[in-house]
Amino acid sequence: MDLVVNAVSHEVDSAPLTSLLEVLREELDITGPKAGCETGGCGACTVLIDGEPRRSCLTALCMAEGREVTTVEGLGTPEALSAVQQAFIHHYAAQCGFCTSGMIVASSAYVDRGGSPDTGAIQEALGGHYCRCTGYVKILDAVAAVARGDDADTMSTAASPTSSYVSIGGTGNGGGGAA
Amino acid sequence: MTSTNSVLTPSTPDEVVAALAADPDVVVIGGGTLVVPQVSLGTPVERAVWLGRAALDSVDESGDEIIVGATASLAACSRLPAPLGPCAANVGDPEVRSQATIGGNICAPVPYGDLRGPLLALDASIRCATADGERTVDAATFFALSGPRIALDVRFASPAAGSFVPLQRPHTVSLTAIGISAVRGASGEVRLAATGVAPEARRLYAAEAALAGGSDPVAAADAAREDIEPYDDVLASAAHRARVIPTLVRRAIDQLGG
Repeated sequence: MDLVVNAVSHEVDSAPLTSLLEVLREELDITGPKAGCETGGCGACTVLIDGEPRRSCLTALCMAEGREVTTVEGLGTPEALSAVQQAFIHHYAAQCGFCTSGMIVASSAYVDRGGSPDTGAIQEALGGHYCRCTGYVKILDAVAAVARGDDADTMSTAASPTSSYVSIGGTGNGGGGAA
Repeated sequence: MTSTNSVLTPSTPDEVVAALAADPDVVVIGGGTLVVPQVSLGTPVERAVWLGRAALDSVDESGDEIIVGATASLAACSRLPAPLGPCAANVGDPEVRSQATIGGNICAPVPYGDLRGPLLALDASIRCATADGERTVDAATFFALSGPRIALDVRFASPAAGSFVPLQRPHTVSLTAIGISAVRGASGEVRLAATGVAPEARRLYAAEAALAGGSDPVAAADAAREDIEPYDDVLASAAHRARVIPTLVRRAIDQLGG
């Protein structure tokens, strides 16, 4: 069966009901889509299929045949990151990083279809994506910035989490965050 | 790796009917949101029929009846009148709704199957394939079918008014414990139906009768207790269900207006 991923055609051997997630990660070694819950609940495996965000864990290989699959690897390159990727760096929108590729893929589809910078609209669009670091505020900031058309500077971050931590935490003797 | 499986991909509804008649034990796949994870978790599926190319995804609102193909996505269904539209919009998240289908939803076991409530309230009929061929039955009959069946399309008269009131859930819980659907029909009659008030979706006949008899919404919602069998599951306890159901029913009636 032929599968087109990031504009490259692959001949794959997996059975037709194998999840696209498993084909991508185990057969093609494309590991941007993360295997989180593998039951459609967490959003970490999200890819674009013909430009629409879809759960690769819920999509069988046979459903992706003849379609264009795009993973986070296909959105930009290390030398030329996409606007959403740059904004995630600038706004410090990743902690452990496990949800990040799914967040970036879904956010890219959101801004590509002209999504608004309104927080509620972004929350609705990303409602199926869980960040178990609970770093949602920075993610919403990053997506809103791209939706507004803000420039992102990947050599700096938009705000200093450390300074706000210290201002709330006083002398900063309560943990490593401000040390 | 997954074991070898074969997937039949019918290109017309007639081919779907023929596929089920030829192989009643075949595993049916609509959007894949329920079957694909089962395969990944190790459930062997040797033979499947996937409906994604069977020309069953249209939504036709042009006639007296609204006709919704079985593989219409929940995202497409979310644009239909209440109670069906808001119920579909309440399922899962945007990406799941773009992939999940109405046919898969109404054939899925509890705690899935939220759309059964609206379809009971809308007094919908369902054209379906069974091992004996094609037939059209009312929604309650379809939901009670025990043998192999595939929904082909769902049809109902556009309601004069409708409402859907779910028990709210946080975004990290993708299933809804209780959903109340209310419909006012063309001649003014009110039909109420619910998921999560009993082990299966059901009409709330006593509350309907109370409304027809002139009761106010509070009294009618209280009468809904006659038709419920609250149960415990991971989403809600029986005690919690019993406590909140009358409130949700009253809100659904209130939202009908008029």
